[in-house]
Amino acid sequence: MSASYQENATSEMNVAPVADKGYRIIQIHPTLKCNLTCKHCYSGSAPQFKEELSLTQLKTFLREAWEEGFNAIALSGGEPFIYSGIHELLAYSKSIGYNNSVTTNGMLFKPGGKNLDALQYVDLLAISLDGEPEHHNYMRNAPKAFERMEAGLELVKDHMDAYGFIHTVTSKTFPSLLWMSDYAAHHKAKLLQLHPLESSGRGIDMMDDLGLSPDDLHRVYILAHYLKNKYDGQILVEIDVIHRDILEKNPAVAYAHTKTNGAKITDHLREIIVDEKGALLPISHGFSKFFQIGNLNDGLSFHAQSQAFVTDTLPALQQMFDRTYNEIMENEHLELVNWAEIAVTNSHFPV
Amino acid sequence: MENSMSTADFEKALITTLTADNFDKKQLSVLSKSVASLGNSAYIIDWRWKGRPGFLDLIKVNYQVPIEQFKAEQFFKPNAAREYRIIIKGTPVPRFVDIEAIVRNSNQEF
Repeated sequence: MSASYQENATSEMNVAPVADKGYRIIQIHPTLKCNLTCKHCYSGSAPQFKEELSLTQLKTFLREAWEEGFNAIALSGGEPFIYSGIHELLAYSKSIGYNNSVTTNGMLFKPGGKNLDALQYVDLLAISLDGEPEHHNYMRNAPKAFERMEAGLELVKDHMDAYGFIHTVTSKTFPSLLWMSDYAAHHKAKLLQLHPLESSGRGIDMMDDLGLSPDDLHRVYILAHYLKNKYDGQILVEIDVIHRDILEKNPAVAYAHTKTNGAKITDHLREIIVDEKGALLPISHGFSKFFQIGNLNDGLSFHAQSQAFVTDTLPALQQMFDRTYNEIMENEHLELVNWAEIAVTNSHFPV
Repeated sequence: MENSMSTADFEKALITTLTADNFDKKQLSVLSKSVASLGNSAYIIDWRWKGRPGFLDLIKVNYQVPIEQFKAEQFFKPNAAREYRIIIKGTPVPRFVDIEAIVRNSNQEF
């Protein structure tokens, strides 16, 4: 599993006041079960996980969340197309009016299969691509992962136009970004999202070998902007880091030093997470339960949970965002920032 | 742009330069800062240089746009034999920006 295209809370594309009306996203991890055990998976997903979220609870939640102002879901995992309720969940979400996006390894599509049929409810499909075939297979821990992804891609292309690739950038793969962009263009992809490897889940063990040094991150940043312009109008190229200069001028990107008003949770947060345990968390997977909004299993309506969150928890969360922003600004060596990753870390050390 | 490389040659040079051992953090940092300073609606549409990649002894960044929007930066000591410059050109609202490296040595200017 990799980050979803709509998970890019730290992207420079996201430079807009929180009060702006745009997508209010629910990132859902319905299961950690996956057909792969990728070396860099930030959620540690794997085949042995059996549990999954209740479809009934998710449908109720989506209905209530729509009333609170959410209008997009981003399914991740685990592998979303392993989730037993994927077809019905997507159909239901679409019937309410949500924009549906799914991040997948692309390996579970078969001609005439139900997963392929579910694509009629998907607005954007992001397929994980870990580099050139040999490296993709290495990272995916599966010798035929690339071959099977490519076979799935060919089927996807017959069913929808809005698909793209998401790549976890490592110190080994950034020289292949040109290859990957060519590959994306060849397949008429609409998205190439670049997400630097995070020190989370199994990614922690990979940081020594594959983590990006500050120099590497600069290289990736420059390349990403070159590709962004090369493919302008053809492929949306996104990188999930922001330059401190932009962050300095736009603290609201990181929810810092910005007073928001309103009774609804969507007046204050652009994105929330439903994790594999049903916990509702702010902005990113792995956020501390200290700032938990609620839980699907609590038996309370989302309205009640989010109202209590806005009243009781949001002030502390805003303080934590301010602290995170200040730390970034005070550290001049920190030029290219995944502020959300830092916020996740800081969330576990609330003052 | 005069004497432009082909896209393939440019991209090869781009990778070669970015991965060169002597392309250190300070250079990368300033280039990234340049990219970031272009702002949210601005972006680079072309970026190429003449000369041999991997021998960037000096980079001078000149912003050909109003100074209040983009500060000029200069760094690294001039090399007597070669001088490489990256020039960022733009309109007052630099939606379209060119960056070009110019090679100059003691005998001629490209």
